[in-house]
Amino acid sequence: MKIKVKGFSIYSDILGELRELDLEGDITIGDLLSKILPEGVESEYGLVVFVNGKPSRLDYKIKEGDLLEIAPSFSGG
Amino acid sequence: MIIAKIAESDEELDLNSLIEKLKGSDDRYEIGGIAVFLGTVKGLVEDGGKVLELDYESVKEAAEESLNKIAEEEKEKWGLRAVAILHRVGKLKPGQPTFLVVVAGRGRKEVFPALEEIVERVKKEVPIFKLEKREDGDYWIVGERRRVKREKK
Repeated sequence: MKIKVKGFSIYSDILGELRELDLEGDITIGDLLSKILPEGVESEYGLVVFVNGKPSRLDYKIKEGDLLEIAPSFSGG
Repeated sequence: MIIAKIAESDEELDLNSLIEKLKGSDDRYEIGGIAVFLGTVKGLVEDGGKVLELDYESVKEAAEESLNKIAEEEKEKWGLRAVAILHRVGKLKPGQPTFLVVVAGRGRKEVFPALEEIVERVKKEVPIFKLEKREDGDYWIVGERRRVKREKK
C-alpha cells in the first residue's frame, strides 16, 4: 500500500518534507517509525503523529492512502 | 462568539475590526472588559542571536481544531462573551505580529487570567512550529525554548 509521510520542523530534516512509501502488510505507526526514525529522536525532540490531519496513537494500523505527519514538541507563539 | 484560525503571513491581523466583530456579538452590552495579547517577532533573542526572520508552519486542520477547543474551553471556564485567537504562519520579520488573542468578558477578573491561560495553552497545545533564521545560521525551535541548529543542506 502507498502512503505519504511528511515531517514537520526538525523532522523535515530527518524524514524529508514529503515522501511516498510503499508498505507491505499490516503495520502500525509505531512499527513504521521504529524503522525510519533514528533511535532516540523521540525522547530528544518529542513526537506527535497526525493521520490525515488528526492526532493519532502510535498503535494505529496504517491504511492505503494515509498521510502521516510527524512533528516534534510544538513551538507556536 | 469564537473566532479561531490559522492566518497566512500576508493576511493582516486587524485588531480594531476584530474587536468590533467581538463587540457586535454582545447585543445586551454585557462586555465590561476586553484584553488583548499581540505576539511579535523578536529581533534579538535570549542567547544574543540576531533574528532575520521566523518561518512558521502548522498542521493546519489539527491546529485550527486545537485553537477552537482552547477558545471554547476558556470561554466556558471564565464565562467570557467572546474569544478570538489568530496565529499567522509563513515568513515573518522582526517586529511583525505573529499571534493575536482577544478576550471579552464581564471585567478584568475574568479577562486577564483567561488571556494568560489561552496564550500559554496555544504555545503548548497547538501544532505550530518555527524555524528561526539568524545571522549565525538557522535554528529549529523545539518546544518553547530549545534551539537546534540546522545543518547546512
